[in-house]
Amino acid sequence: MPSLARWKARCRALLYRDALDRDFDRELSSWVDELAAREEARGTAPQEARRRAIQATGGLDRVRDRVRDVRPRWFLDGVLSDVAYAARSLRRAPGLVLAIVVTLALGIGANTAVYSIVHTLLLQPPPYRAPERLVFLLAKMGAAGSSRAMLAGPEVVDFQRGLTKLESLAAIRPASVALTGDGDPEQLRVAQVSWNLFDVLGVSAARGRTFAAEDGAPSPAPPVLISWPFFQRRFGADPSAIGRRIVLNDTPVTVLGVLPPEFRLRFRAETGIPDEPQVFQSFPEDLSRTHRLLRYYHVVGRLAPGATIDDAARDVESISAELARIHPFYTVGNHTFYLVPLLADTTQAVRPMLLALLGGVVLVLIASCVNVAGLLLARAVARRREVATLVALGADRRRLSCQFVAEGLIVAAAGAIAGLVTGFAALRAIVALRPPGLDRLAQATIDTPILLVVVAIACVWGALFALAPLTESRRLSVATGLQSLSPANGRLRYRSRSILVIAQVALGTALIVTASLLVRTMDALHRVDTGFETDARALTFRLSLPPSRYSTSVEVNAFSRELEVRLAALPGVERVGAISHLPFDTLGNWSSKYFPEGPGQDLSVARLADTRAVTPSTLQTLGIQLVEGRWFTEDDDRDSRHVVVVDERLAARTWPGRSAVGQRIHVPFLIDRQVHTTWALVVGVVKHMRYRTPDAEVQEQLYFPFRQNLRNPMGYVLRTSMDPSAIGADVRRVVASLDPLLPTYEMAPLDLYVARALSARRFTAVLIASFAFLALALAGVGLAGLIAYSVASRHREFGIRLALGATPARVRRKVLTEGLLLVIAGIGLGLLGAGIAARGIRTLLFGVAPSDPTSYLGAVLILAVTGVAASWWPARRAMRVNPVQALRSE
Amino acid sequence: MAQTTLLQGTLDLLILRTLALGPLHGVGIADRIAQVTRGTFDIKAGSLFPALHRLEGEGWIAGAWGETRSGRRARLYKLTTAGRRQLAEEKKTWARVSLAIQQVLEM
Repeated sequence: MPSLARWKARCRALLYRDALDRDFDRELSSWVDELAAREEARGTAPQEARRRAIQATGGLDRVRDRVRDVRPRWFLDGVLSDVAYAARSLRRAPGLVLAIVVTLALGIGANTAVYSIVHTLLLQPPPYRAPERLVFLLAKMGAAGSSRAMLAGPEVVDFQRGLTKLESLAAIRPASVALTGDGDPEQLRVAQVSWNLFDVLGVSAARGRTFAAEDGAPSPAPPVLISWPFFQRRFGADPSAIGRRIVLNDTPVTVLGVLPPEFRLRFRAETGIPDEPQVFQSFPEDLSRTHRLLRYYHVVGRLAPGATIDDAARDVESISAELARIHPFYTVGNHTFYLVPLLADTTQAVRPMLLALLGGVVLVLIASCVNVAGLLLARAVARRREVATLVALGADRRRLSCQFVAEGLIVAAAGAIAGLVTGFAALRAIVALRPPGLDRLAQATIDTPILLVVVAIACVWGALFALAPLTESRRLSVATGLQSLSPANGRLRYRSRSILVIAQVALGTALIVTASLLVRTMDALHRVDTGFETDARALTFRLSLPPSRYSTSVEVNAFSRELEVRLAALPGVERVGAISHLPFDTLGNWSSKYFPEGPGQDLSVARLADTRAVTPSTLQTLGIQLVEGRWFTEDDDRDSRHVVVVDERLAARTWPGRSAVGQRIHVPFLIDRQVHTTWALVVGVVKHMRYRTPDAEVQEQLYFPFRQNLRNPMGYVLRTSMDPSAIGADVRRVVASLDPLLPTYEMAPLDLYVARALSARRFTAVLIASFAFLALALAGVGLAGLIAYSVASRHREFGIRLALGATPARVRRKVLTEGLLLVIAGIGLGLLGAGIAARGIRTLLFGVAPSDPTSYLGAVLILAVTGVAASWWPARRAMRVNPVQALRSE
Repeated sequence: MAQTTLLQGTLDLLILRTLALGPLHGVGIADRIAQVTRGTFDIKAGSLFPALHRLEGEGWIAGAWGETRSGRRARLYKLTTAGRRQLAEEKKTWARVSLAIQQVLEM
């Protein structure tokens, strides 16, 4: 069959190409032999006969070529030979290829890493079903001064009952319990949740089951679900763990199921809800019976099918109105409720940082592409002669394009591969070195679509600019190409490359300004007066006293006093203190409503203050600055009168012009697990402490003595004379000696919390600074390359100048001026761009304005110096030109 | 005689027809055609070999090394069954084409 024979011929042509060539050689020589023999028979001399026979064929090579053309070939055949040719010609310019590959590697690598990070932190949806249908229900307390507050138990129940546009609503609050029993006592991160939380989120158990309605009944020992990593670590992934009872806070509870491995909560950091709680427990309390004024529930809901968020918002408003009707204090306190979409809310904190990084890295990619374009254009000029010769010899222009494209693609592919490897390594490095507050980065991996997009960009770019030599040849006539480079065409090439260099300088300027602004922000943040000592060597840890063994304040206080005494006695410990929330803590904030004595003052118009419970020694341990009055002493305990200390802001706001000391203030106290709101005496005023974020003064502040107002957990701070981590083991021993079943957890140096507070900004600053250096390096290389090329192409011109009496210094100055002009143009453009970029990152800046002159001047200086440095070497070569040689050449 | 005016398809037809009478090597084919057309078609190596190899690639002729009558080693081509069918096709086409040309010339 013809088709079969054709296929066989094709295969043979591909596999036995050399053999077929040899075969035909023999066939051709037998033809020549025969014709030569006939010629000889006619009487011609053998050599002449042979010559005539060969001449009659019209050229042996020609015949061979024509037969080869006719041979059946695959498309691949042509492509393979183009690639081989391209590879050979690239091997002749190793420096150029290396420069292009390195440039692409850096640009693509940086981009791949950052896109992956942005994707993970910003774009990747949380592991819930249809997360775009989820919303948060929040409260706004106008009179009290809070725009974002949690809900109280009865409010949650009211909304659960009343909402129609939300199909379900669930509450969450973070907690911490001690796991005892087999194995070491361990403090666990717990999320206490409504039984229907997992229905709201649309998550089912990987093993066992999630909560059912009956599990939600209030109980002293509600059942739990455990996380997958915890299941693996503590239970060895043993399926018999389901249904087993574990002891949490001395209470046995049943494990109902295990959640899937990829499940995690992704709430805002300030909620204090951890990303990966180890245990989820149904609420032990009945939410409808809790106090309407105690709000510590975070509420998430799912929109009903077909309902929009606006529908649900109207629903919420109508229920709020209903509540205001029943409880007048909602109206008086200007207390309302609202919804926010979950997706937008959870990413809001990181969005400015990620967008800044994205902007920076895109600039780096543009700088890389510009550099590559410049390099390929330079190569195009160098190969003018070669191309013109090939065209003159009859090379098919289409084949030439194919070969140039092949070159471009090979280089781009090499660059892309190098880029992906670099990106992978960079991502690993970033994840490994990630700052403490950005733990979510650990989940960043390179995403396949990102890969493909980036590789595609590189290949298209490379192929495009690889075609540059060909556009050249179209304009050239063969004659011009074969002669020396005419100035006219050289100038055109020079102009396009100089535009590229200006662009690179501009990009470098913009990035350096941005980086400088961010670095100065970090500096300003470090120098903020936080109101307490953050640079002392200090170790922190937490203890959570389970109510089962510490049910009364007497027991708690006794433990606390004894612990502080024993810890202070440890060698290396200078001071010990305890505070409910460590500085820059990850625990959710605690705020209390307060109001002073006076007409019209009651709970409904009370304002909120950030509240902390402290032990007396905390003043010196944390270096808190007392402004007036006194701090707490051991005499302020359960049996003495209630006292508080306030901060300057609260004092100034509540009792303007008077001393706050001696005034009375109405605040809630938690005594023996019951909340009592009562009058307390203000005994002291302290400087405002920036313990939530370093860059903003947030709220008025209030301090309770721990002895009077119990909190769980408590954070202990130990000022040490040596490295904090060295005494960790001793601390654990001391705690265990008082109570062997009490886990010491979250032990960390105080520095960690401070670092965490600044981490997002520092991360951004470091990365943008790296991008800036990268762009600077690319700009320098690009400029140096361009000036060098310019000098090389004007070899003759410099020779003439020098011969006519110009001093070498003048020639050098001319070249330097050339370079500087480009740099100045680039800087000008760059400063414009920098202004726009600076405005864009305004939210990240602190203590420095977007128009900070130092940063801009600094960038100008750096780029000017780089420009001079980059032009220096080619300028020196210009002045070293030997006039005689230059005039003689070409 | 001007070689280049001979269409590629026509050369194929001539070669196939020549080989219909029996296997021949390259020189033999060129000789036979020159002989029969009394020198009108003097086919050179640069035209013949590409044509031969193309026809071989299509599977219409098959080549194998062998010996010529004069004892020389040469590649002998013979017509295949598919080649025979193709020859018949090309003959028909040629008849149609030449008739058409004739009609135009006589109009």
